[in-house]
Amino acid sequence: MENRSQWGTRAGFILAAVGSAIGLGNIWRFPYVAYENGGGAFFIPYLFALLTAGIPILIMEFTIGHKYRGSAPLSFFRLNGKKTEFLGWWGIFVSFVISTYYAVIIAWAMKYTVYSFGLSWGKDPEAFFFGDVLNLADNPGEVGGLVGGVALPLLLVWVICYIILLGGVKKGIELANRIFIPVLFLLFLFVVIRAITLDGAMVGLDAFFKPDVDKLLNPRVWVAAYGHIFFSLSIAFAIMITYSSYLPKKSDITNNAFITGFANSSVELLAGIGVFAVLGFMATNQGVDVADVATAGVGLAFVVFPEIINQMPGLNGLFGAFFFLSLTLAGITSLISICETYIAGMSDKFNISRRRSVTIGIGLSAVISLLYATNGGLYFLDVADYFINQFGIAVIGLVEVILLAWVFRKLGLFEQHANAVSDIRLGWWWKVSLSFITPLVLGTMLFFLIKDNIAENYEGYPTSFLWTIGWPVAIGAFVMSIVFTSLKWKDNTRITSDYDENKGGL
Amino acid sequence: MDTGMSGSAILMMLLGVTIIWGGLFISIFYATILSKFKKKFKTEQ
Repeated sequence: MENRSQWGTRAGFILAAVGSAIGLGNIWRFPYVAYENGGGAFFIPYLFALLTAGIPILIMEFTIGHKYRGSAPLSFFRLNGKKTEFLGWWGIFVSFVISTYYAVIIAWAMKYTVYSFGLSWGKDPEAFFFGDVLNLADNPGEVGGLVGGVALPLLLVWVICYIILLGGVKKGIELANRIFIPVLFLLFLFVVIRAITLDGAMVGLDAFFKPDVDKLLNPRVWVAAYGHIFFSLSIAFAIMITYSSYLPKKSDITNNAFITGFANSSVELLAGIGVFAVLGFMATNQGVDVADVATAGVGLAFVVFPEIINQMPGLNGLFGAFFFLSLTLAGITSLISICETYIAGMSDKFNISRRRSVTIGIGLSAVISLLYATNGGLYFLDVADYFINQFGIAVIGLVEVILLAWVFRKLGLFEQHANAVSDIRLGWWWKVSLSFITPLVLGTMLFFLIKDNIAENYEGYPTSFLWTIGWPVAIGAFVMSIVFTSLKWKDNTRITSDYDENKGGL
Repeated sequence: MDTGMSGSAILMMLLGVTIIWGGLFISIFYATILSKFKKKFKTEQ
């Protein structure tokens, strides 16, 4: 019987979990979400969301993985048979879709790391990115041809990912995170220190931290805080269950969740300081308001940052290289955690070796990811990302907490398990958060989401295009989860091996 | 001293930094030092 892999050390697990949580969103999403939703005042709903949804769900997912010791579908199967197994597959299919486009963004960042040394984007970074780099099609839905300049670094991303995942949990994922996370931290620290020493940096920081207290009365600000915490912590898409299933039997679940949650937020805060310091520099330089230059996502990283790097008085190339290398490393550590979900799931369900599972999983993702390396790739990426995140992760999170807290009433069992292995004991706070606060806020979030999407199409895209890529990926992930749940477990001994039902993995 | 930032912005920055980075510090401190001390104390009892 094959023994389940384990992390070498507690620090190894924490670095891997933190590496998964810290992704592109921490650097390019959080600063703008905070700025748009009250600046400094946003920290109040943000911290509230972290303590009443982020960390409680992390604790729940760590407990499920640790107690049932399997990939997400196997853990959910052991929990309550096929009635909950689909939750694991649902998360896995959401992860699968995300992995296909996430790799493409890492490929752009990798390319820009090299470009930084020679400031290759020239005087018009916008034209360079959309024209020279992406060779973007004129209209959404046009596929066009494969863009070689994106496809090649994309291949390199998949090769790196393949090698790391083939190395297994300890010699692959843990080792990579042990190297990448400290390097990422040092690189990003350099970026932030350089940013705050620029002229006008304080103008940016003032814009970022200045509290707009009136916004706290707006329910959408609270929903934005919960939404961000949810997407930022890698919860509800099978990752944390998979990672915690590799923990040794004696592991402090609760404190590990606190460290992971606070480490993720610490990096976000650092990112906010760095991003708004350089935006302040740019605004001062151009004699405009910070609001005129503040943005998020792809536009911030690949258009605004190159513009800022052009204007910097010194260390331009190095600053750019460190920034884009930080994005690359943050992306790779998240990508390997996303891929690990389906590699572990396939291996458990179909009883295949890790090597085979890695080859099939990475091979399939790599082939599909080529769609995003075409001329029309950015449009597909934008819509797939929006729909899978909004209608995938948020719905899974809601269904997960309702089923586990209300329908199958498993929170007491999880609490017992977590308390048996952890120093910090869970109490009423944890149960109230998961039973009432999280479902209420996620339900409100979905209500706003559906309302907004009925009112107008996302980013004004044509309805036909949204039905070509957006809705199919969101609905498809759920349909595939039902299909995979209906399949039989290839080897039933896998269901019981390394797990004692009475002791619950202890 | 003029920092270029308003008082309320400085206050929110300090609050965020203290709670978030402080939370991380306490969690790590608890995991590495306090829990071991607690276990040692329990064993001695």
